[in-house]
This record gives sequence, C-alpha cells and structure tokens, in this order.
Amino acid sequence: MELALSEFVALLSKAARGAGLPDGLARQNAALVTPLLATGLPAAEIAAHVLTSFASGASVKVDYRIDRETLLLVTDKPISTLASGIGAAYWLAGGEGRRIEGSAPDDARWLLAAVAYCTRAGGKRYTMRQTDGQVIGATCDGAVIMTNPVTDIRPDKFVIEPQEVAAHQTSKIPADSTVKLSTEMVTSLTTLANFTLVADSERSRLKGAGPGN
Amino acid sequence: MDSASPALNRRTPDEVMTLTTLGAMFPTRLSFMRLLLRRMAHEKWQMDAPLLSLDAQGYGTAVYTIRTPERAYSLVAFSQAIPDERRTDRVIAEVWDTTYVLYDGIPDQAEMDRLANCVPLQEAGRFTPREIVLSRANKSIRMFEHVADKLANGEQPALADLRRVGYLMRTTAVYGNGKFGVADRSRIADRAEFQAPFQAEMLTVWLIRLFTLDLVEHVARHRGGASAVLLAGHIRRFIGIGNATGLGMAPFLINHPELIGRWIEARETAVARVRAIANPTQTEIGTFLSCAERALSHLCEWQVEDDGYAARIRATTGEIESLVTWIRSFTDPTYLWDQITCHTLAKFSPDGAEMTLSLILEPYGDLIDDLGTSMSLADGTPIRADQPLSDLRSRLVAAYGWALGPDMSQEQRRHFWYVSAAKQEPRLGEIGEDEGDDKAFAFDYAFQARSLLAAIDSLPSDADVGSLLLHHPELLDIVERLEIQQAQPYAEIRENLVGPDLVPLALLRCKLAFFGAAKFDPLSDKWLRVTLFQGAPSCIADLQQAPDDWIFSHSGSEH
Repeated sequence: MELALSEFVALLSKAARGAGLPDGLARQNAALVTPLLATGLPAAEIAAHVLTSFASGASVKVDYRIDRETLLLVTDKPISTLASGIGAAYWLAGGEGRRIEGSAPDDARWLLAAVAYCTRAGGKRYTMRQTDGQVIGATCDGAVIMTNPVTDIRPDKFVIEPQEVAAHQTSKIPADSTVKLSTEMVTSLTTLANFTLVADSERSRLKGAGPGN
Repeated sequence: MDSASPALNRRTPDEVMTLTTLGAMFPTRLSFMRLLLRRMAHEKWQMDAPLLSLDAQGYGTAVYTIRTPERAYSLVAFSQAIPDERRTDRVIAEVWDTTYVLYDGIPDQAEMDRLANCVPLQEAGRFTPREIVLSRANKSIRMFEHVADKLANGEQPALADLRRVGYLMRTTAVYGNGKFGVADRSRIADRAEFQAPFQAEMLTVWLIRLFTLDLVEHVARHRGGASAVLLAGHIRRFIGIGNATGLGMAPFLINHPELIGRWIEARETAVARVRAIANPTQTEIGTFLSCAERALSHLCEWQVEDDGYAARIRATTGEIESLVTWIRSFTDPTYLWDQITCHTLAKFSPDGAEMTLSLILEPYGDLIDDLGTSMSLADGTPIRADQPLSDLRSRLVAAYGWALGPDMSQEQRRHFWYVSAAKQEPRLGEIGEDEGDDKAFAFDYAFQARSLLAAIDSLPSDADVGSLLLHHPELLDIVERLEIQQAQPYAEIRENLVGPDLVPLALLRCKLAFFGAAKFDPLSDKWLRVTLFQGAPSCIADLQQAPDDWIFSHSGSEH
C-alpha cells in the first residue's frame, strides 16, 4: 500500500498516541521518520516494530542513570524506549561532553534518529559506534546516515557521541515521495491508531458534535 | 513609518489570543481567498471552456481547467442523485450531491475513469499525488430548486431569498496535504501559486462555486427550454458557495501553533502599519467610508436564527454607523486610524472592533499586501536543549501567566476533545458525563504549563532543558509550544481549552475569517454555516475587471 508522506506521519502519530505516548512525544516520534526515510532506512518497519512492542509491553523498555557526563541506558526499569530515547536525545544535545551509552538493541537506529532530529538546530553531529569501536551510523542536519543500512545492529552496547569528522551530505526526502507499506504494517499501525477512537454513542453523536443535520 | 507614531506596537498576545477576540474576527485583505484572487488577476490566469457532461437533471461529470502562467489545474466534478434522507453536512455522511478533486494537470479518459471510481467515495476512496484537493458539496435543495425554477421560467431569482441563503451548495469538507493519498503539501509548496496558505483549497472552492452556478443554469435550460434565461451578472456574482463547519476545524487551530502565530502576526502587523500612518489622504478615507457603508448593508443582510449572534450583529451595526457618522464630522485626520483603533478597542463590542480593524486595512493594499507571503509555515522551531531552565521558567511565566494563577484549579478541567469511532468525527465531551476522556487530545495546555513550572522547580537551578526533557519527556509538547512562542508570540490561544466556559465556535470563526468566509451562521455551539466568495468574481473575465473589491458584499453591490 502506498501512503502520502504526511498521511503516513499522521498515521504514525495516531498510532503512537494509541500505543500510549503523550501527544508531544507521539508527534516527535512521527517526525523522526522523515530523517530515517531520507537515508533509505526501513523507517516504517522500525516505527511499527517499536510502537507495537511498546504497546504490548515487550522488551523495549529501558531506563537510565547518569554517571558524570554519560547517560547510561539500562533495562531494568519500565520506561519506554521512545520516551527515554527522545528525552535522552535532548539530554545529549544539552551540553558539550555528554554522551549516551546503552543497550537498546532493537531501537538503536531509532535513538540515533532521535538524536539527529533533536539536535539539528545546533548543527551538532553525532556518531553511533559499537563498543568494539565500529562506527555504525552518523547524524547530519536532521538526518541519520547509517554506515550500512541493511545490516542489523548487533544487540549489544553502543555509544552515541559528538562526531569529530566531516559529516555526510544530508539525504532529502523528494517532494513527491510516497511511503510504501505492507498491508500487515498498515493494519498494525491502524490497529494502534484506532485505540485513540472513542466508541460511538447516541449522546456523543448528538451532543458531542453539535448536533448538526 | 514614523518611529514617533503612536501605533508602532502591535496589540499584545494577551489582547488578541482570547476566544473573545478570535471569535469576533472578520475577513481582511489578507484572507486567503483575497490572496488567491489577487494573484489570479495579476497573473491573468485563463480558463478553458468547461466540459459539461450532464443529463437533464444535472447528473454526470464536469471538468473545469484553469491555466496559470506555468501550469494547468482541473476541477473534476461528479454530480449524482442521492436520497434526501441521506443528505447530511456532517463528517459521518456517506453520500453527497456532488464530489470533486482538484487535479494536477488535465486528466485523460483513463484518469477520468479512475477518478469516477474513487472521488464519489471520498474518505473511502484511495487517491494519488495527481490529486491535490478532495472535496464534496451538498445542495441547498430549496435554494437550488428555487433558482432553477425561476431561470427556467425566464425570471431571475428573488434577491430577498438570496440574502437569506446566499449559495446553491455547501461544501462539507475540503481535504488536502496527503489526506487519503492526495498530494502532500510538500509536493506543491514550492509552486508560486500555492505558497500562501490554503491556496489550492481556495482555488478548488472557487471553481466549485463556478460549477454550482453553471449547474443551476444547465438544469434550468433543460427545464425551461427556450424560455429559460441565464443568471444576471450581478446575481451570479452575489451567489457564493456555502460551507458547513464543525468541530473538526478547531483541533487544526490548536495543533498548528506556529502557523496560526504567523497568520495572526501578519494581521496584527498590518493593523499596526496602518495605525502608524500620520496623515491619511482624502482618497484613503473615502475608500474606508465606502467599505464601511458597504459593510453596513452587509450587516443588514446577515441573517441568523441564533439570538445571541443576532444581538451581536445589531450591536456591530450600531457601532459601525456611529463610526461612519464620526468620521464624516472629524476635523483633524492626524493618526486617524490610530484614533479609530483606540476608540473602537475601548468602546466597541469585540465584533465591532474587529470589523473596524478589517475596514481600516482596505485602502492600503500597497502597504500591507506583502504580508501575505509571510503567512506560510517555514521550517519548524527546534527545541534548544542547552538553554538554562531559568530562562525557560521566565518565558513560561510570561507566556502562560494566565494559566499559572490559583484560580486554575482542577475544577476548570471540564471538557475533553476526542475523535469518535464513527467515521473519525471530532467531538467534544464533558468529563464525568461522556466516555472517552482517557483517549482525549492533550489540549489542556493551561494544566501542562502548571506541570512544567512544577517540573522546572523540582530540578537544580543550573539544569538545562535537555535534562528536563530527559526526566519529563511527557512535557515535550508544552516545551515546544513555549519555544514556538519566542518567534511567534501569537501562537498560543491564551485560554483554557478544556474549561467550563469553552466556546468552540470562536475557534471555527477565527480560521474561517482567515479563509475569507462571511455571514457566520451558528446552528449550535459546535458548528456553523458560512458563505464563501459571495460578491467575488464569478468568471475569469469578471476577475480581470474588479479583482479585489468585494469584502463585505451585499445584494446591491455594484460591480
């Protein structure tokens, strides 16, 4: 199925609300998709997976602790990856020397996208590298550039830190782009989005809307 | 402008961003319909002869192709018979008398076949980026039949009837920006003709109006044969296009603070520029008086059933009359517009004051029309995560002081906004009375501001915004709105949008006034009807002759 980009972003925002995120986070969550799409990453799949997991209370819950200038993401407390990811991205953007270290195996790209999106104003650039030193992605002007988009990120620790080298050129979404989604994915996101709807009733129909003719 | 003038400062957000003021707004020179028609006239847009493929009852298809200097756009219309009992203006409708798309280019037969299969379905259809706007309209049956019968009998419709209902059809939705697969805004935003807000939508509605006029003449011709006549020019121009608007428009206004901030800023800047004029000319004063007198006739023809609104219209009429009388007798025109503004803001009703502000802009196209280019959304406002919380706190208190006082108790949280499962119709509920407050939109910004203040005060004084959002990501929305207000001070409605005194109609009227709508006619506290393009040019040739002289039109307007 092919959706207009803004249609997809709207669906994602509703799905995020349906999954339980507050409005602001839901909108930011949806906005993060554009930089992911710009790199050719499977943004819809990532978003659908994270949201579905979050809604089901699955393994994507993390919390954090701060050790001097390092934000350590840990997995023993129930705060959503999305919430803590976006929050962590803003924390990272809050001052020089800050870095994020943690284990969020399924959502590393998401976190990097959050960093890219949240820090675009300051013109800061960040790299994501695994603990063995391998750089797996970088941010640039609101976009996220993965070294190898088709490679799964290993489910172990990674670090997001300020980047010293020249950044990649930003990939822009073509103005006439659409988003191709599988029927299953549309169904999955629509199911989540439908959690935001209130069942119809006679009182609602008459009093809630006007009533109109 | 003279820096010593008394009116360089715009009204403050506290003065403007209230439901009282927003709910009293009128169209201005900067309304989106005016922007569109000025461009169409200036660039000498052309239109092909309409392709009407309609039966004797007016059912079938029509194509209206309009040509800008660089592109062609086509309104593709489908007209069908529907049972009276299924005709409703609400979102929950499933059939309509007429349905439309604005097509990017000129559709060939294969495209017409495709559109015929999806456009009449509206929300249930799927569309492509070749379609820019999707819309539908229902007949005002009594008025349509009256006009068709009169024309069929060789007579013109009675102006008295047209004054009461100034249109043949009402649009009930106008969708763009990716809805149901139509083109994203980003696809057309770099086209000069669509850079100002809602220009594609306004073009669609203007073309729909033309179709309704041609349709009634077509039906009359088949009904009356040789004795049928066409609409007289002045009547054709007086007939606008109706619109029924419900709560769905209100969340847009709340969810797009940056955009709304730009609209209001442009309008307030325009008013400030005119107030700063030290010595208006007699010609400018004459233009104002001409428009004011036209507005008085317009007010007399603005008929509503709602008693409260009728009283407001009567009060406005008296105020504008007194203003005209005063101006005819004044002796010192120095800073006339500022004098008028100060007087009306102090003494007039909100409607009278806002109408006056609209009127003083009319003589000054050269001075203010450039502001139309500043009303579109630019890149979003990013949150500066490294700013000290003390700065954020100061700005919070300044922007949301109205929400931080002791009187904003939980008892002031009375309503909630939600979307019904029935065709996703936006609705308003009462806490404790209606189901669904757990699925409400978070429009409780007054309370979010209070939560933000508490969160800031709970963190160390040297913390920054990034740390705040790490600990309280749920406050992202209100922080973002606060950031937006640094650049766009008019971005936030400074009232409790879930309070017991909420008046949703005020939100609808504000947005409709920016569109250029007139004759607001409330049919409950949650929806209203308006008339669009009444008095505006009703064909391309008409557009070239008098492109921008139709604000506050009335049935006796001469064009």
